[in-house]
This record gives sequence, structure tokens and C-alpha cells, in this order.
Amino acid sequence: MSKPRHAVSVRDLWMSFPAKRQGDSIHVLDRINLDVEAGEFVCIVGPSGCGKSTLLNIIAGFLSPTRGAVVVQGQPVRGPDPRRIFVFQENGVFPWLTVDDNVGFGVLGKSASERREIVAHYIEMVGLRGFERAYPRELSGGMRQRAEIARALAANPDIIYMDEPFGALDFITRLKMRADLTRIWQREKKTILFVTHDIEEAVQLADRVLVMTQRPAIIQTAIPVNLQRPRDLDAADYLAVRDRIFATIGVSLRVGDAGSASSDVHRAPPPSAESGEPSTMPVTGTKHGVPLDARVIVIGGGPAGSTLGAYLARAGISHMLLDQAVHPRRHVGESLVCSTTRIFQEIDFLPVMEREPFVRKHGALWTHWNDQREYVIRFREIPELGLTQDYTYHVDRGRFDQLLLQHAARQGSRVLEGARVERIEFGPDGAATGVRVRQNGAERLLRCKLVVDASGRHTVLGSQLRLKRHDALFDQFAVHNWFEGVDRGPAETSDYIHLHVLPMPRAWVWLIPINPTVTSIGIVTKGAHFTKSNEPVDQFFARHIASHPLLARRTAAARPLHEFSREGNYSYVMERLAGNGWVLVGDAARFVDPIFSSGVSVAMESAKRAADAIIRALALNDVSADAFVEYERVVRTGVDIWREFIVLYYQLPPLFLDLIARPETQRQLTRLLQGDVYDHASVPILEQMRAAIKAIAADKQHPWHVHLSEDLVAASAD
Amino acid sequence: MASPTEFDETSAAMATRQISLAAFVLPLGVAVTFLAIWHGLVLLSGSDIFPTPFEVMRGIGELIYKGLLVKYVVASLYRVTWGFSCAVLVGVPFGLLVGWYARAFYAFNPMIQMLRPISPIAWIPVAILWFGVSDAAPIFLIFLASVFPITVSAIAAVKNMQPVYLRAAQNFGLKGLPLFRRVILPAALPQIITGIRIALGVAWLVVVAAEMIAVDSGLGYLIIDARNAGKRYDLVVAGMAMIGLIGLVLDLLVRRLERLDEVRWGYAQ
Repeated sequence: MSKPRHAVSVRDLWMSFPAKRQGDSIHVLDRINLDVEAGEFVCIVGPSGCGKSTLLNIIAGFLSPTRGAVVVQGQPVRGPDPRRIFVFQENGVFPWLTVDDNVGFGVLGKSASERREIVAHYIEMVGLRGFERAYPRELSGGMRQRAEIARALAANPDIIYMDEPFGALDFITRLKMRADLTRIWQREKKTILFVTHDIEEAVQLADRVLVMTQRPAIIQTAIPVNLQRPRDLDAADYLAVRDRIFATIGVSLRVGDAGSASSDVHRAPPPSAESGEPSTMPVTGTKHGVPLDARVIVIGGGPAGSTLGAYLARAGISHMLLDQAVHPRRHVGESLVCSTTRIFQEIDFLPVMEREPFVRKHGALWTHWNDQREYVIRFREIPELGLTQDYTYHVDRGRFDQLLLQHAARQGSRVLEGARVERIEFGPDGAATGVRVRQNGAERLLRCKLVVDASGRHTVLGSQLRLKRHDALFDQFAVHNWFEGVDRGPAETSDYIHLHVLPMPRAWVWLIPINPTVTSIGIVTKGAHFTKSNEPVDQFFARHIASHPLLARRTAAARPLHEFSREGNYSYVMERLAGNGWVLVGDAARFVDPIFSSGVSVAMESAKRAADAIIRALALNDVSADAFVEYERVVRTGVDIWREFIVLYYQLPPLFLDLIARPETQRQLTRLLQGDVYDHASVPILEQMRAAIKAIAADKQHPWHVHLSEDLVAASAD
Repeated sequence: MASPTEFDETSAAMATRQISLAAFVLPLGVAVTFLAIWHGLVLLSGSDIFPTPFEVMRGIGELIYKGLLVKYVVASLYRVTWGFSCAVLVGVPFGLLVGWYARAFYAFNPMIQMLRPISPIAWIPVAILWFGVSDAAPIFLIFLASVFPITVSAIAAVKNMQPVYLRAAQNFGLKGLPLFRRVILPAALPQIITGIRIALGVAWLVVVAAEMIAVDSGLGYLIIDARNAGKRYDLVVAGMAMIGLIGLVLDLLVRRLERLDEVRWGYAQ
């Protein structure tokens, strides 16, 4: 038999339902004709109640038409069929099954191991990893919808019918789901027939949009959408297609004088039909009448910038990533914390992390120069963070940063490499309007609606606006290098980060396994301490190593691989994290001492939260400082907690170690150390540490009294 | 920085403790008052037949000492277990089928609705006629008492099932037994469990009545025997107290079923 030409073919379909009164009937569909090609993504749009869901139900075989023919894959439709799976608007997942069992529901005729593999594959694809054992009632609406999509895909159908699958979700979740669906469709090559009342949604998704009329409905017109994916919601051709559909349905987009050039063009939501629906109008593609190069420009391609780029790309927001540094580059902050895993999952980066030979970090180990004990934290002992992985990673930052940037580019970020930022431009109203860059010797102005500074410790915008305040409490200084031939100790803790407290003022050392042979070692101490010593760096380094017997033994055979790098005075705070048309993220927002491996976590977490705020701000067409108040509050809370924790640590390291050794406080500390710092206004364990330090400061007989860092105690008391 | 939230947490913890204290103290207070009034009324009336709470306690002690209490409780539970299990085994599949197949519903529903209102007590003479004075009679009565609530709840559960589950199941090509096993039964289960809970309550009511007439052991028999044998009202009331206590325990056990992950979705959270 020859391959049928169309995946779906509907001829002269006519549908009427009996009405309540005898003899009457409701005429819903009137001579519908349509064809869908194999592998095509077709959206059906039309006013509410026009019968588009009825049409899809007939095509899927759940309803019989009054007259007419539906032929799918060469055969007339007689009922539902597992080769064509229907995704319902809401709650189609079975509430009595876990996510795992739901996704595996339609996987039949496979061995148990194959089935497990298929289920895991699609759970991963829709981003539900970590929720395999969860029941639907424990998931959000968006996650339930993802589970249903995974269930449909796992059954390996040829065609997927979707009936307003994102209709019950909030605006931002919907944007993300669309981006994910596009990505999955590109990968899986399924035919998709998708019903929606949201015209924006149709244009973002479809190869072709079929527009239906009011009841009795016909297909008024079919509009091809020949736009590249991922789609740029500002591009003129995108707007043209969208406006054409609005015009077809007869909705005016303009309110008031369309010719007025002084303000942005206002777009009215389509009246009546979509009542109760939040506006899905995009922000305009111009600013003061001048076309934009991108809606958002992100300065910096480090973890913060790349993460933000990935989130924006997945929400379909056009943006540019300016990356001035040359990869690979070296950077402190080589050890991550578990909370970043969640972000890796959300931006689909976890598979990359798993593929790369990064050393897995299963815990942390501390020692104090004064005693023999090892204080250990194992991540597997804190399951309540909702993560499936009981480990995180140690990374070569050069490689990691590069991979993350590439990932953002793959997700749809436009990356401009080697672009040096000269200046951020501000308009007469004080709002940022663009970025002046120098690239290959030429200077050019990139215009945008929103500038995001993710330039790390350069803080381009922070310097220009003079926002940077040195954190007077810390004048820490670091010397670091990579080594070969370091003894990592017993196997169980050999992939942990090792932190040793040294007898010098506020001094400690990190040992981070970068790969099987290379270990990063860094000494952190009070800045003044190094200046006063007047020593060459390597001698200073060696003297500190020798001060700790265990450390000295383990590094006896170590050979440095590079010149020693040093960094000083590195803790600072920004006066503001956002203004009209600009936002700071990552290290550009704030930098604290790296003792608890919080650097990458803060960068990515702030980027994630900034992305949420930016998506919302652009949707509401308000990028003023007001739109980022909540973002600033949350990021400040998080970093303040980190900072306070670090201050308390330095005041009395033995106290911290003692709390680690006690099971009841260890859990709290571990949670904190894994980055669980953003959603609590207070953290009880810090209170406890503060009280203990106060008591010990007052008690001169206390054995730890001599270990107190008096200057910090005094400084943080006020 | 930490103080406001911490204060809230403390006061919230205190509020919880107060509630849990109240949940303990209040019912205890009511029970003590009830016993005191009971005691007072017996003394006031000067009755030497109706027992005081202390005499009831002594009665229970006597029953335990003679080994009767355990024997009778076991006998009653044995009958309930059999009658009730049979009712579940018959009622659930029957209810699912009648709920699912329209023709079965048309055929059986009127009969079910007619038999349902007949009190199981009314069946006692018939049961004795058919089964004599043996365990079979009360078991039959318990079966009758519980099979209707279970069947009716299973029918209703299938009829009220969300159509989307059914359509999803059909979409995946499920038919016949797999359809029942994988979708219809789990979808109906929360409501069936509610029916089972009601049925167990009824079964426990009925066993006492049945044992008063049809057999010579069990808690129901204890009550009637204590009265007939020598107006031992202390034992009558002791039997009543045991019936109440065991009924409470049974209900608590079935309630645990409602917490299972597979059915929790079906109840208001």
C-alpha cells in the first residue's frame, strides 16, 4: 500500500448536537475541510465556543460527526487509537498513579528495562526529573501538563492532538511550555494538531494556523507561518503574521491615534472572546520609534549571564549575550552546591553536566589545625531539598563557563563574542536605552529595552553608576593554583571539598578535585596579613600549608601547574540591584567570600529570579525599577544570609565545626550550605550561632575564647 | 533580622500545642462529667439493678477473668469478618459492572433499590429458617447489611467517574478486564472505600442484633444472656461498652485506608 499523502484529512464535516428542546439542534460545524501533512505542526484558532474542540474530538474519534469523512493515516476514523494520543486541557493524568506510572501507562509490549528507559527518557525531556515518585496532586498545573505530554510521547504515537493544553496555566508557565513543546516537537518529529483560542500561542508554535469562524464554523483561512524557530517575538515578520490573524478575525489592535509617534504603540487585547484571560500581547518592538536590536541585552557570558540567556530563550524573548572575555578563563568558585542542580534541570543543562567528566561532589570535609578530627557533611543525608541527585560537581570553571554559554546559544541566545562594553546609554528620562560596544575596532550602539549587567566582578554598570560599596567587614585575600600529586585521603571523602582552618588570622585553605589528577588549592586570609608579611607569593603559600600538619602531609608531593593567581579585596555590595531599564545579576550584584562554594549558586539563582522578573516585566511592558523590587528583595535576602553565615563562621570557626558534628544542627547547616537561603526571612541556626558567640565572648574562661576573631565580633555587634 | 518570623513560629507552635491539649482535655472532661452524672443518678434513684460505672468496670473485670470477654469478642469479630469480606468480594465487582454496563444497570438497579431499605433485622427469621442456630445465620445477616452500601457506592463511583480518565484509557486502547483493572477500579476506589466504611459500621450494628437471637455466643448474646440469666445489668452495660469501643477501633482502621496514596486524591485535601 502506498504511503497516504496526508496524516489527517477532513472532508465536508458537518456536526450538529440535539438541543434541550425537542426538534431543535445546534449546528456547530459546517462543511469543514482540512489537511495536515505528516510531521506538520498545525494550530486551530477561533473564537470561544466555535467548535474547535468538537472538531478535534471528532478527528480523534471520541465523537462521531453528523456527516462527512475523517481519514487519518489513510484510514477512516472509527474511534480512538493509541497511534494518535490526545492531550486534554486539564487533569488528564491519572491521579492514582505516580508520574512514573502515568508516563509508562501507554508503553506496552516492551520489556521492563526498555520500559523504564523510555519512561526515564521522556520524564527527562519534559523536565520532570526528580518527580518520578510524586503523585499528580503534589504537582503544579504546569507539571501535571508536562506529565501528560510525556505520557503521550512515551506511547510513541504518530500524531498528537492537543486541546488547549496550556489554557489553565499562568502566563509565564505557558510561555515556557510553548518553548519546551517546540523543542520536543523538533526532536520527536511528530505530527501535532493543536487547538487554542490564543492567537499569540498559535503563531509561536505552528507551521500553519487554521482560523475558524463563529458557529456554525467553517475554516475561514489557513495562514502559513514560515518563521524560524525559536521564534523572535519582536521580529517584524512574526508581528506581521500575528496581525494578519487578528485582522482575519476582525480584531483591531490599535486604540486611539495609531499615528501618534510620541509614545509606544498600545495594543488592545481582543475584546469579549478571551475574557478572563491575561493579556498575551507582546511588548512593542520599538522604543521611541527606533527599532531595537534586541529586547534584552545581557552583558557577560559567565554563569549568571548564560543562565539568564537560557531562561529568556526558553520563554521566547529576543536577547543578546555580550561576552567580552576569551574562553577558557580561570576563575575561583570551582565547587558548586546542590541547589544549582534544580536550575540545571530547568534549563535542560543537567545532561551536559552528566556527560562531562566533572568530578562529582558528594560532601564537604573540614579540619581545624588545633585538633585531629574530621568534620564531614554528606549530601545524601539531606533528602528534603527535593533533588534526586545526592551530589553536585567540582568544575574547571573555564570549561564549565564555556559549556554553559554554548548551551545558552543552543537554546536560542544570540551571543556576541569579543564585544567590549564601552558604556551603557541612558535616555533623557533616565532609563537605560542601549549598550555602546567596541568589536573588531568598530564602535556601535545596540539598542534594547532592558540592560542586564552580568559582567561579574567588573560590574560594568556598577562602576559607571558608582554603585559599588566595598564590604568593610571583609578585606580577604586569596592565593590559588592548580596542583598535581595531591593526596586526597581516604576514598570515601576523596571527592569531597576539603577545607582546613589555619592558625593565621581568618585563614583557611580549599582543596577542590578538578579531575583525577589535578587539585585546586587556594589559601584565603586577611588581606592585611599578606601585605604585612612582605613575602613572595609562593613562600607565603608554602608557609601557610606548613602550618597545618595534615595539609602539609597531603601536599608533600604536590607540584604547581601554573603561576600563582591572587585576588584581593573581593567582597562588595551594590547600592541598588535595579533601576529603570537595568538589572544587576550574579557577581555584578554582589560578591561575598567563597568559603561555602556559594559563588556559582548565587550567580545562577539570581539569574533565574531575574529571568522571572524580566519575563513578567516585558509581558506587562514595564521595565522600570518598580518591576524589580521583589527581585532585589529576594536576592538581597539570599546574599545577606550567606554573608551573615560567613561572618559568623569567621568569628569562631570551632563553633561552626562543633555544630557540624552534632546531628541536630548538622541538618540545618547542610541545608544552608546547599543554597536553601532565599525563601526564609530568617534562619534559626544563625540566631543560635550568634547567641553562642556572644556567650563565649563574655566568658573569658571558655576554651574557644582564644579562637574568637575580635574585630569581627565587634564589627557585627552594632 | 530574624526576630519577627521566629516569634511567629513560636506563637504558632504554642497555638498548636493549645489545640492538641484541648483535643485531649475537653473530651476527657465530658467523659468524666458523664460518668459522674451516671453515678449520681444511680445513687439518687436507689436502683439496685442498674449498675454504677464502678460496677460496670468490675463486670468487665469479671468477664475477662472468666475468659468470656475474649471469647465473645472473637466470636463477633469472626462473624463480621466473614460476612463483611463476602460483601466486599461480591459488592465491589458487582457494583462496578452494574455501574459500567447500562443494560446491567437497567436490569439490576430497581431490585437493588427495593431490597436495600429492608432492615437486616427483618431478615432474622428467614436466616434462622435457612441456616438454623449457627454461625451461618449472623454471617448471612452481616453480608446482607453490608453488601448494599458497598454495591451502591461502587455503582455511583463508576457513574461519577471523570470522563477524561475514561477517554484517556480508551485512547491508549484499553478494553475489557485491563480497562477495569487499570482505570475504572482505581478511579472508583476512593468512593468505594467510603462505602466500605459505612458498610462496616452497619455490619457492626447488625452483628449485635443477630447474636441476640440467632446464636449462643458473641457480644450480642452476652447482653441478652446477662439480662435473662439473672438481671446482671452490670454485664449488659459492660457488653455495650465493649461494642462501642470495638466499633470505634474498626472505624479508625478503615479510615487509614483513605490515607493511601492511591486514593488520597479522591478526598478533599
